[in-house]
Amino acid sequence: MKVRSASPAIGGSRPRNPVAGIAAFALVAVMAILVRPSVASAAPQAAGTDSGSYIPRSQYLSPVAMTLSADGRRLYIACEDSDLVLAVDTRTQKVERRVRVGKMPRGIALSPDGKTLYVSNEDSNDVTEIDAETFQVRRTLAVGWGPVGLTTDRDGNVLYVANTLGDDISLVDLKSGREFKRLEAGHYPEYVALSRDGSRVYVANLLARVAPVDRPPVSELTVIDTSRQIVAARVDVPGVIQMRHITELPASAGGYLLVPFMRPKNLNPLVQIQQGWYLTHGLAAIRPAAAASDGPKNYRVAEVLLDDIDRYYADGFGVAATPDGRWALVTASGANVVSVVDSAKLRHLLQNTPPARQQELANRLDSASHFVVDRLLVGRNPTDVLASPDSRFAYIANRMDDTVSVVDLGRMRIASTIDLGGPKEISRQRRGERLFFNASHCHQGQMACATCHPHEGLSDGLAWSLETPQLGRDVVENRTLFGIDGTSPFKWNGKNPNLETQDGPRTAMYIFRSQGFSPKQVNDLVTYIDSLQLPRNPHLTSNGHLTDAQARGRAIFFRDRTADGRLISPLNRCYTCHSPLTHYTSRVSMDVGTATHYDTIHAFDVPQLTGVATRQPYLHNGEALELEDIWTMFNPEDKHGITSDLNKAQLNDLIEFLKTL
Amino acid sequence: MKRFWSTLAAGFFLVLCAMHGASGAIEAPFESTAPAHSQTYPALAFIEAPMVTAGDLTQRFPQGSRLARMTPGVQPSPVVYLTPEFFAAADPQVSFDGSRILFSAQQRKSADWQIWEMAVDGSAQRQVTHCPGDCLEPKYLPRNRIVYTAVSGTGARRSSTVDVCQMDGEGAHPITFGPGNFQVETVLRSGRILVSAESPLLASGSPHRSRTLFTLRPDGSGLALLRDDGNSGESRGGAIELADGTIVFLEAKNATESSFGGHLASVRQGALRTSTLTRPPSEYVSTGQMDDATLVVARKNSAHSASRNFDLYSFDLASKSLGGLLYQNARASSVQAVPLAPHPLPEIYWSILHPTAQTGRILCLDSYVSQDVASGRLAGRIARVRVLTLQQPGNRERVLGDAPVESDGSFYATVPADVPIRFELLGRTGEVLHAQRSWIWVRNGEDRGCQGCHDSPSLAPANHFPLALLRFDTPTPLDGTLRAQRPGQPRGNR
Repeated sequence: MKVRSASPAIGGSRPRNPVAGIAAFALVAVMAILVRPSVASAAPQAAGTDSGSYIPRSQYLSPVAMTLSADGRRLYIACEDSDLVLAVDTRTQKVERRVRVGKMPRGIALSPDGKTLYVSNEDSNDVTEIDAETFQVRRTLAVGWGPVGLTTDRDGNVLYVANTLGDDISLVDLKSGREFKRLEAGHYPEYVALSRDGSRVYVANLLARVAPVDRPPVSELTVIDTSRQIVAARVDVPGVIQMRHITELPASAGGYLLVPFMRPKNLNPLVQIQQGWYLTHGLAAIRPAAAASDGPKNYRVAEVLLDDIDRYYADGFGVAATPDGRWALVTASGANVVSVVDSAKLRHLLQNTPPARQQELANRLDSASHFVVDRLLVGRNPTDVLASPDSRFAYIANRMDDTVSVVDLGRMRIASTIDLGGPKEISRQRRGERLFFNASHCHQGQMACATCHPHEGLSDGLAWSLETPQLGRDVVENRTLFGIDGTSPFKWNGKNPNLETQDGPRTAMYIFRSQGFSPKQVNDLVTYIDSLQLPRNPHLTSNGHLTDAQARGRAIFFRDRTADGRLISPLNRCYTCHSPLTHYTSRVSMDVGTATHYDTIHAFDVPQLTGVATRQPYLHNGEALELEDIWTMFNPEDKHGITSDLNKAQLNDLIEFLKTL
Repeated sequence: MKRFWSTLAAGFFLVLCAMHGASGAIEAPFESTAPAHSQTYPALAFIEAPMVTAGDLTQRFPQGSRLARMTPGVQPSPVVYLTPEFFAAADPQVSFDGSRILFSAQQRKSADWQIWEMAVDGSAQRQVTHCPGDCLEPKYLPRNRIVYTAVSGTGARRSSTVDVCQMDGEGAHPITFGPGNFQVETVLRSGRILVSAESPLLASGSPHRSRTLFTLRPDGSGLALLRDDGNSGESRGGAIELADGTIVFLEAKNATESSFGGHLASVRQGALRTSTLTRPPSEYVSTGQMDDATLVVARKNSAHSASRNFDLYSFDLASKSLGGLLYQNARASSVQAVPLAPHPLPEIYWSILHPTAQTGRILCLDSYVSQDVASGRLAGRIARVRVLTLQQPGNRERVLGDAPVESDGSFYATVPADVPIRFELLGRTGEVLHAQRSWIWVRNGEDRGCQGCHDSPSLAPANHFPLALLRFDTPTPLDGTLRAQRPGQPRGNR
């Protein structure tokens, strides 16, 4: 499938009769006035100029979520880096209003009457309510930890908010503005969608359920019954992680829920990346049950890949069905591409694949050529996508370009690019961020840094079979990038003294199996990674004081004697290896008895404990699914600190303290 | 008689060229046609020859040939000949920055083909290779290296490999190690090399065997079929990669037909099967890309059906139709045209082979996977895998040993590097359940992975930890300690 850029076809650039050219120009000019939205410019957006000077991240807009007014005339955009929400007139393609909201807005929803906007602020753990017409902030609603996706119910009475870091969903009574219920989600719920009939809220979870790492991941689509406000079903989506936005095709187009995903082969050795197919990307097509017969078994889950045999479209993010049901558009945020799915062809494929072949379908790299009718090259890091109410246009938020691409779905080409007004100078950190999200540095575009570190630096929660020194040995858990500045060395074997080593030629040779980054690019990338901060920790009280349980846990962490008064060897004290002076790591490798027969080394880099609450699973190979498992299952000889004398209540206290780090 | 005179004229011209001086560029004295075009095209480098034959690479231009340069659509069309001091020149390839041309050439009719480089104006010619046999079809690689086809031997022992060397000719070494007469096609933007070879890769070569397209990395690791689309008879070659990743190539119904060229075919990114751009009969002998929408092709002169000459035409990719005549010399064929323009540097591939290693390792995820059977999975219970090599002289098969196959179909073995190997899947009593026909290889220190013994690039495997990697006695060393001689032929399709 040829990827089409914003540039006109070659044939269109050839010299023509000048008189005809003038006439054509005049005709196009008239059409441009008549056709809405207007075609402002077909040229690709400016790449920006490199800047050596410091530009705060907050100067960049980073559009990441959008919603559209019912008449299609106003596009509302949440811009995560600038803490702004913008309103764009789709006819003039100009930003006509802006308002500052909370920290890191990442989700946006419009009330059913179109009068109120709700914007989730991931870093301030709240939702900003805005008058959609005046753009005045009305109030701020407290929700859970790390809110991202949100939607109202059909009546506009209840707001459902996915709390990504809290693994739950807040239900807010919009009359009182108070959260009245919290439902358990899967792991890292990010985006939500209200069903077309209003009976369900669907929640896509970014990461797979925490489970033994030697099994393929299973992710969850959480289904909430809006009438009873309970979780009606937890639908298994096998073999995938990183489910993001959700769209529902109209019943006339099959009524499937479409959810982008990444389908990894992490249990195979990483050497296979050079064959292709190691990291594949596609869509879950989920057929909801009738409302009367809910339950996980009543959801049929099929999976199809959007990749081609030798070209991958990494990091699916946004998905939108046109109201007429003809097209579904899926952004590949790592490939800067929007794939256009012919929903009739997709439906035909799904309906004509016998059950025995469904599993094979999920791994077929030639099926996209049957239902993807076009690949459109858009701006950098396309995230959200929306279709206009008349099904004629689609809007794509290009997060790393501060632009919105407008797709003319009739001509199937980029009609224009809306500049939202971010800085034209590109800072070193921003360059690094662009690299982080760009999969072109990997063989066949299979992965970007962000593929295994989604949510801007998180661990994907999977264990990976790296190939050195022998295939099948030293399977290791992925590690988070949040707050790693000052925690060198890196890798579980502690062999990389700095991030430049970690991300330089080694990554190109052994992971990307391609050219990799230039030295300058490595420096840019490291600048970005070093900037990644831990999320605000809700386990800390607002006054900074520890709760009683946390204080008891702290005492255990810093204890020198066992429960019966024996002196603990300094090497067996928690705080020796997890030193509070250096992010709770000693920055050396230690043998704590966690190596297995399949490890070729016994000493592992001591991980920092800051942000440990968000880092499931634990230990170098991810064997410990919960913090408690570290001591109750994998520390039989007290080599990982003296813990055998601690009772259940004391371990709980210790965990409460660790959560505050 | 007419051909005699034209040949004599051409030879006389070459002598004149040689007398003119070594600096290179000479304007064309013979009758040539380069029609005016409304479109603007880049200048082209191409080969002009009184006679063109296909088949043996070293015999393509038996009456000599010359490398020329001209710009389509420019009137008058000064065709400049850049290699007057050579008996024959072929395979022009433009450097990534557009400033130099790499080509193969014979200084005299009896001389071996060697690889040369010069500036695009014909100056600064220098010999790159000093091969013991013939070296042809050079392509630029990143990091000042080239890849080319090396032909050696005579008669039944004549064979070709794909070799790599530095731009100064130093460090020449093969990167193909099995039978099949490998030839370079092009360097892909991904950094991999597209090659062609006989299909299947059997030890007993035959000039009538069909050829197909493979990819491998610049260090010779990772040999794989470009597409396994079930073509058994067609012969493919003359491939180029378009800017959108589509591979365009010449396809003939069989190897005999391919001796006279082929029709145009292509395989798009994502497509498992090829599609034809032109219908047979075979009228084309070379392709090059002019721009995103246009090829330059060498096609049999359509105005004279009896003519054996080839002229240069444009070819519109969108409409799959032949465009206008770009260049014609009534007394010669014009072939192998390439734009004299900068083009993107392929990705650099960083080799992770171990120079001192004598072995490589092969991990098969599921040996039951096979496209040889309709179900995609072999029947029966596979117990072991036997690895064979070819022993020289005489291409005698030798068993290197066998390794256990786990219940999930996986096996993991160490095999000698840089020698032809193939596999046989054995049942519980040692019977051969399925045999690979093609000979492949593993490079020194390579960890070669495959899904099955005959897998498809269109199907990703299950996400499953191979049981063979849970054993502590793997990789099974298969270094040839079991030295059984095997008579007979293998069974199976590949």
